[in-house]
Amino acid sequence: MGAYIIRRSIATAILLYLIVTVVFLLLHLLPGDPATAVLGGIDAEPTEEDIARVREDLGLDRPLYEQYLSYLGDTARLDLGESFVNGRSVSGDLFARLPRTMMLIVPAIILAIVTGIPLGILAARYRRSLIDPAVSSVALLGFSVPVFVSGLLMVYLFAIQLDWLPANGFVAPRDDFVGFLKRAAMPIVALALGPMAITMRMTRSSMLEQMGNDYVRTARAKGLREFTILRRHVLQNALLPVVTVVALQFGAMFAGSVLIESIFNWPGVNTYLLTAIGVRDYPVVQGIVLVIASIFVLINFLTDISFVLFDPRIQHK
Amino acid sequence: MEQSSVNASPLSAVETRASPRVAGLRSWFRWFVRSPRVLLSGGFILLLCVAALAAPIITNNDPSLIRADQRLLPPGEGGLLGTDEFGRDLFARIIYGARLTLIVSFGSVAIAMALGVIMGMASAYFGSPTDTILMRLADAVLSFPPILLAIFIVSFWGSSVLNVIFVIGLLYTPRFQRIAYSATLTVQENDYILAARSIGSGAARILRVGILPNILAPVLVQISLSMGTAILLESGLSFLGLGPPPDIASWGRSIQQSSRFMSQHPWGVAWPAVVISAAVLAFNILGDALRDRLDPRLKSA
Repeated sequence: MGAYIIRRSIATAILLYLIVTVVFLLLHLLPGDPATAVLGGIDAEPTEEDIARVREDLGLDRPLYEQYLSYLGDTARLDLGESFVNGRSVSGDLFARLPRTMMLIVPAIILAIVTGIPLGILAARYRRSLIDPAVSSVALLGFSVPVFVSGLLMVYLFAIQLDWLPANGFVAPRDDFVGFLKRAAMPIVALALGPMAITMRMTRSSMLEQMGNDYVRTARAKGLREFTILRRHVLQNALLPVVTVVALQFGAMFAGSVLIESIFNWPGVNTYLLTAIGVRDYPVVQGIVLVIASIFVLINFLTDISFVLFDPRIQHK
Repeated sequence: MEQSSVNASPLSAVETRASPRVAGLRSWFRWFVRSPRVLLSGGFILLLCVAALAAPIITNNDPSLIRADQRLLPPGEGGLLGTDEFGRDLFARIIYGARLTLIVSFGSVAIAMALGVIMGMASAYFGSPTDTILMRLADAVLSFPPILLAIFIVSFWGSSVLNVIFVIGLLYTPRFQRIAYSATLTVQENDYILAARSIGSGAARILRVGILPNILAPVLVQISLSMGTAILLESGLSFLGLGPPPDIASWGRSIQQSSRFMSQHPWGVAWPAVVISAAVLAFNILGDALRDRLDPRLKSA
């Protein structure tokens, strides 16, 4: 157990280092000169001297390995540098915006779990009635409809036609909690639909797989009620694969939040990333990608660890 | 074909399975026609392919033609499905948009499959340290949301159609790599592989004749499911304005542009939204159906 955690920690650390390096290389080896971008892009026709001065200011004239080493040092100290465009600290802006994205993702994932798992259980339990095909069809629809389509559909229904909710924008929950809820409701539900569908399908198939096992027949033969069998025996075994899927859904949530933030004008990490990419603001892009990638690696690490905690059989492999 | 059964090579036994090919095709055809979900989803995909191939025959209207006097018309006026905020014919844009969607999704899935299956099979079969590293790398890519990587790469490489295909293809490679890897691990334990090796069959031949045909089932299912997510990814990139250039009709970009006019004129969003959803749904249903047919273990569950 301890050895396993140590092995996984080392692998995770190596992975993080690789990500840091790959991000650096991608940004510096791909075409597009940041100095020109700082001076307003190629259309602004910056002079040679201006470009040279900016390159020196930004440290881009130094050899690549020197830039790499100082970048590694800064990253290790969580200093992500300053924006090329407005000179503000990247980590400052990033950590101001990260919570706003989390305000969408975390409720959405909770919503997906508390609806997806019961629906999956329901579909598995009533497999031979109409409930299963009904729930399964809705789930299929749920992860086939693009998140920006369900988002816009909700805007059309609830903001334009019914005028119940504001179409977009953001209010800090500290300033106006009701206003925040009104604005966050549609993005959260839109984000939750796909992961909910996947959680439901996974729960259903995992339950069905377990229900075919001998121990279920034994439990039935003992005369246990079906509900007790499901709750005490099947569910415990069936939920293990669901944990992985839910963890993977975190990735899907981040992917969806890129589009959702853009539809709902939500000032989170993703809108920050898209703006920065538009103006080739390298340190900002670099910082965001690094932070998001690290979050992912850490979540995967925690999932692996929690697996061993949940299921002692795994460490014997 | 009869001769090959006289030949005692164990791999020929695998090849003779191809002899009842006609019967196999017939059973596939029956499967296609008899199951309503396969007929519907497969039929819709075929319809899209026809629309994409025959776009200039189906509609005479240019999808990019701006008609200032015919802006925001409802269905029936200015074209079968109405017009968008530039007066462009929405029907023509949907039909031509199918081209982009299908080219990108077929192209990227083909790249992903070719690279992924070869790498996955080789990694499982040879099992050198390099192979282990390749598989860990696949895990790393898989754990990261594809749209973020795609945004990242496309914004620096530029977003021509070829680049988008290539990026999605690379991002989906690990999926096929993983599937081919685990399927090969199982298949290569079979006695006929051992037998083939013992009579001196080379690695290339064993992989091609002995293993590849037996791992195709999960790969096929993954193709269908990946087509669906590739469409989602392409339309998402286009929606963000990072997809192929604006002069190419694209469903995702249409939605993004028309969304500003949604309150007066929902059609500009509605049509492309419906076709994207239907296309993804069709590939997902087909993938599910393929899995049910090819993997009897799951069917019985």
